[in-house]
Amino acid sequence: MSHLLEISNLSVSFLVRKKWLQAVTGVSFYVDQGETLGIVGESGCGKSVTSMSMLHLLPKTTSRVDSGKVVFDGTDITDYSDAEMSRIRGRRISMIFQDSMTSLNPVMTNGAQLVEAIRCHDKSISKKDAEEKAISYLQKVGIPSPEKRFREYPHQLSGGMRQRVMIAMALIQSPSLLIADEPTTALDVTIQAQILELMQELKSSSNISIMLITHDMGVVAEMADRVMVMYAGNIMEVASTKEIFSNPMHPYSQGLLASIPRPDRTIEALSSIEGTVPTLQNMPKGCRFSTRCSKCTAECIEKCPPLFRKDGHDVRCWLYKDGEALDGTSC
Amino acid sequence: MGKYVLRRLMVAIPTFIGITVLVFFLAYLAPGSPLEMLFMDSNADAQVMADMEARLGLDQPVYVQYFRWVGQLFQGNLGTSYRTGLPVWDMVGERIGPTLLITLASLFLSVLIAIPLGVMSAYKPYSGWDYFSSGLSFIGAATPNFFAGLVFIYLFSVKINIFPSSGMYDSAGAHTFADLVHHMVLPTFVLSIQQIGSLIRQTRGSVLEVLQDDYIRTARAKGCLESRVLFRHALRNALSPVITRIGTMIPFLVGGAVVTEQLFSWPGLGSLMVLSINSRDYPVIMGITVVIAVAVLIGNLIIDLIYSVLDPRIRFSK
Repeated sequence: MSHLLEISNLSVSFLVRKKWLQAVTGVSFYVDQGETLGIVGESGCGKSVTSMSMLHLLPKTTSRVDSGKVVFDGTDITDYSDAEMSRIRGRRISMIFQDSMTSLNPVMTNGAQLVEAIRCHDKSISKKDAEEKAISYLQKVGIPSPEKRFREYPHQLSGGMRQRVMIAMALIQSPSLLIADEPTTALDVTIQAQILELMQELKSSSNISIMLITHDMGVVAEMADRVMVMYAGNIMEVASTKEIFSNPMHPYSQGLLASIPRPDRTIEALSSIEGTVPTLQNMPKGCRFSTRCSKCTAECIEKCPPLFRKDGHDVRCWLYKDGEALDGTSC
Repeated sequence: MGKYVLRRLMVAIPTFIGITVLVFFLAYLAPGSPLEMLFMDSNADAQVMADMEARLGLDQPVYVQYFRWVGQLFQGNLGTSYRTGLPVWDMVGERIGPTLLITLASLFLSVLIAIPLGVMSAYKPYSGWDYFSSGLSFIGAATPNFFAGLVFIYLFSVKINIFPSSGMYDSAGAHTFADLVHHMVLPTFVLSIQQIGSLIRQTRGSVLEVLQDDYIRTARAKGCLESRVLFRHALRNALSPVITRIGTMIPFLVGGAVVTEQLFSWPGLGSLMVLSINSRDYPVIMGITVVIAVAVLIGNLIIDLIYSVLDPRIRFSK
């Protein structure tokens, strides 16, 4: 069976002070129909860049794709033009973003933005039909008195409501893939739970695939089928959610999980990973995690490990070199 | 919305009162009594001068004079010109039309040229297009009107003689619309040059900033075409600072471009102002100043209204 989305060897660079620096290197992964893939990692590890570059949403003047291939639903969309991409965006693949306050246009009504999401793709739908559809979607995402909210502006809604509007807007064309870029980060905990629940509901009713980008392991545990851990522009580990949580193999994944507070255990201090993420200017020569890894060896400093497949995990670490090596030239 | 307008109007009232106080007392404090102006040439005897002083109310205490002046002002009476003896209101009324004609035409022209250039420049920054329009904007903003005016007159009136260099109509012949437009071309362009320069810069800057905003990314992510992203989402959000800039041009619009009107002998408020200052015609100076001030207040009110139309967050704020 072919995957819904397959990305191979994606590398993206940014122009920083007149120098091209690679922010994402050799990223390959897939998303299956109806699956939720969680992408986790700390800020700046390339989670968002990966998804944005897939949809050609990165600024053209300051970013470039060095290599990579994006196949969506059997079609290679890597070299699509803006016009071709605009038929995919919002209709086949849609996105919701972290900050719903800034992600909605402040000078357009919620309704106008929803109607636009319909009519940008299909001019044949009358304004009135589009309006009805928009209101029905507002209702579907659990917004009370949708007719009233339809006519209001984003600033008149609460954060949770705005995120619901974003979700309605993203789902209104019944896309096959939803990219949720930190959808609950800006919300408080109770609203977070409501939004996650809503996404689960919508998923179970429509068989949509979700790429869930987050740094919250709790969100991943609740939502994802598989988890991809990224660090400094590399994939470090990919495994099923169950495997990641019960048996994290990469030292970085282990560190991430160990740093989740556990109320059931009394500890002196929260565990943390020592050091900071290397900057794009001075990436280590070997494994990118080597500067912070407690299990670092001479080999790690010298040579970047490929992804090894072992016990159902794909893991980029020399500790598992007895596994099957998947790619050789990734960092 | 109605409340918003009302509140803006309320704010305008004390401003207007302040303006009348300033205008009156500045004129009062200025050297040279109106009497000296009236009797400059004749050696009128003291009795006649005292009679005149009493007739004009100049023997009254200053606050009485002020309130009488304001009282007349509210009845639409701006006084009488010392120079011509005509009612100031008539003189201003005659001049305000020609001034508004070229200043509004130049505003329209500037917006029409500068906003598309600024938007394109912001959309493709550091492209050839951007360098072209940024260059244009720097040159425009840095070119004084008198200089541009002289160059234009030299080129288009003297060298290739396609546009007249002065007046509103040909002295001979009927006052036709075509003739008027023909005469308007040069002063309108000269007035536009600096405005275009500053509007391009303002538009470029604010569109550039808005294009970084998250909702632009959202608009692209939902599959809008670039043209729609640019004109529907970006431009409308970017317009507020541009409108502010246009707002700062209003006093200039009504006050008349003094220099440009002089240069092209355009019979507008600006040249009347210069004439009146030269002959110390205080009632006219005060009248023009009050008219300009009122126009600025109205202009600002319109700007505020445009803000609230553009941005619902202003409209609904308490």
